[in-house]
Amino acid sequence: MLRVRLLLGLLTLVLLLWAVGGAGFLILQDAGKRFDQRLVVDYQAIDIAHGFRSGTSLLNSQYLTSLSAPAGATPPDPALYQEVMRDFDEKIDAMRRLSEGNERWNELLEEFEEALVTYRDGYSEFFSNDFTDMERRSDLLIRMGNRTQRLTDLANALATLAEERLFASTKDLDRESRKNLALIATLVVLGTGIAVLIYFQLLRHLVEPVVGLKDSFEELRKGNFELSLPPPDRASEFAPMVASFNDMSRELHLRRRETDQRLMRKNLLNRALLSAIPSPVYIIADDGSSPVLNPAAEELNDRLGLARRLPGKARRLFESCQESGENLLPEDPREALLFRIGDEERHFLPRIFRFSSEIEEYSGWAVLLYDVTRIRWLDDMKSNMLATVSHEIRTPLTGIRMVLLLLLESQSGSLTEVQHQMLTSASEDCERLLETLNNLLELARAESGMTSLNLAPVPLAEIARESLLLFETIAAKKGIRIDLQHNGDLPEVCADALRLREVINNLVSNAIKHSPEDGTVTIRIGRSGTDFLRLSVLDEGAGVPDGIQDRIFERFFRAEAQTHDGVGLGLFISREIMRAHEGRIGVRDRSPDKPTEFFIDVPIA
Amino acid sequence: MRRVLIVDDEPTLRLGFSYALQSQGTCVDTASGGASALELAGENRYDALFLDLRMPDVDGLRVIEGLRDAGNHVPVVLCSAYITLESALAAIRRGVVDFLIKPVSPADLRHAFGFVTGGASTPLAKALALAREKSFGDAVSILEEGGPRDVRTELWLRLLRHVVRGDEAPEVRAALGDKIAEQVALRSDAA
Repeated sequence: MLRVRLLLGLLTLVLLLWAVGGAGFLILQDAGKRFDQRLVVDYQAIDIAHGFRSGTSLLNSQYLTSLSAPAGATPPDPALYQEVMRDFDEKIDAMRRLSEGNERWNELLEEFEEALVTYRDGYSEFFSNDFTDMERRSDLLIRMGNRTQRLTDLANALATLAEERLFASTKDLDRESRKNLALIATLVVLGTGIAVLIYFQLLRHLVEPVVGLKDSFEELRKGNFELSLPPPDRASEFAPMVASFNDMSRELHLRRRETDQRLMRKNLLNRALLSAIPSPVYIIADDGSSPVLNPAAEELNDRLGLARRLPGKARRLFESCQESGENLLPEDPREALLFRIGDEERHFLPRIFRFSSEIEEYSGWAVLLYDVTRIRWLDDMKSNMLATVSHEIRTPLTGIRMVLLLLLESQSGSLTEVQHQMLTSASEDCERLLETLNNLLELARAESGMTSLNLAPVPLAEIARESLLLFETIAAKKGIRIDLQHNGDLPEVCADALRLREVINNLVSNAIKHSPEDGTVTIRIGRSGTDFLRLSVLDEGAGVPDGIQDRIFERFFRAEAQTHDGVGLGLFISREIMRAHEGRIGVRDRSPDKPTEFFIDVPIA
Repeated sequence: MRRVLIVDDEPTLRLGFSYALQSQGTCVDTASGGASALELAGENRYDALFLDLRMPDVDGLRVIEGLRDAGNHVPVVLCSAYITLESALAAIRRGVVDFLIKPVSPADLRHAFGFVTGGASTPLAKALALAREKSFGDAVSILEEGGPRDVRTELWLRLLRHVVRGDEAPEVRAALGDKIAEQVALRSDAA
């Protein structure tokens, strides 16, 4: 449609251009031709008029000069005269043809013809040559001079008239060309009007839709998907474009709605998740706005009588976390915060951690208060039970042991052999029972306390030396020597000194137990790779039988042939301690001529 | 004639303890609870007290408090299967530095009795004798100047330093662990 309009508009313009050009061309050509014709006619007339003048001059000079002298013997030859007269007749005819109905012209021409008749009469008289009288001759000369003058005047008048006519025709031509100029100007104005019309049409049909489209894109960019362009005329070239745009807008709208829905679903899911967390959770954004509370937190705050903020104890911890930028994730229930809710005491273990998303403004801190009241209760129960078991079982056992030992000391009098045997057996059972009890208590303590290691840089050789001092006396009783070997230049290890001491004491104690009398127990410290120090305890005992080397670290494992006391918890506890240290414990395969080697690898600090 | 008081709620132990300590020159009294122990201690002058920590009526620490409040500075050997760090610190601050961890053998018992009543010969014995009089600073100095130390002596030195500084149980626990009372307790084999 637009194409057609554009074509029609421009076609009109082109036609108009052609028309203006053609008209101008024709007008110019016509004026030129007419001017040429005028010029030819008038110039001819002027030429002829001049021809009259020169003809009379020629005749007068040829013939009349003789009149000043006395008449000759022979009459003058009239040949020239006759020729000139014929020429004059032709010229008069021609002049008549050039009159173009001009009265003044005809009048002048008639007067000229009359004057010519008179002139011819003079010459007829001259050629008759019948007078010789000087007076008559002179008289004729005078008359002829007058007649010639008259002819010349008339010829001049004709020439002037021809010039006037030429001038007049130029003026006509000028007038006409002015009229033509007006016509051309009209056409130009018309063309300009059409061009303006085309401009506005273009503006309306081409520019406006494009601008509209641009504005619509702008709106889209701002997120206004509701907007759709009004459908233009079906024939418009913009129709498919607008349709495409509207399709695109609809599609975007749909996508946006889907995204919104997905976001909303995710948001709802997150909220549901947060709501479902049974522990109080406080989400604190970095901008310091008031925290977001989950229902459990709201309930806690409600019961504590707090507004929407972190409870004081948690806030202090949170603030120190915020300062240091480090998470606070304690494991030990003993680090729980105590809240008094009415008459109830509740313990909450704080979990304070930072979360961050790719967008900085959605980063912040979460404070989760994990209710460990029950765990604390169980922990207390365990502690109480440890104390109770220690007291309630060990105390009577102590009494039994004491009595048995006193009896064996034979202070109550002499015992029979059988009595002594029975008492010895009972005493040994009693000792074993006590050992078992001790190990059980130790196990309970070890398993519960393993999570709270007190890690610090520790000199491993120093601990080994303390262990040596501790066992030296006991070893000496068996004639066993303890030897400590290290090259002195060792880094510190990262360990809980108390726990590590337990492990080393256990290994040394085992080594002494399994050493033959007068043997040597060696404690050797050196590097193991780049990250660990290795402490080995070597003894000259029988070693660990093949096939059970993996099992000796298991709980309650005892080698069948083992005759020593204990329920086999020492190595198990040691392994647990080394695990908690992220270290290693192991036994070397024993070759016949080499000592048994137990080792621990402790991380270098 | 030395006189000793055994305080324990367990009859067999009272019997065993008194039997183990009875000898020429030692007279043994027994009490089955804290209240009667305080009563007896008020009536008689004892050379040493063997005191059970856990008792149903008045426990060992309260007995020590009662004794010290009454101006009685008798040496006390605190006996228990399990002495918590808090209990140990409370006892030490009242001049009770001798611990026996049950089960005890007659030999342990006799060693303990001899240790608290006999003359001090080693730096540790001298230091503990001062500690019984609550002269903890002097006790620390003696241990510091006493030459090479075994593990137990070393641990006593560290523990007494904390006592001098007035540290509470958590700091001591962090430095020395839970089992310090057992580690510094009297042992017949570690003389």
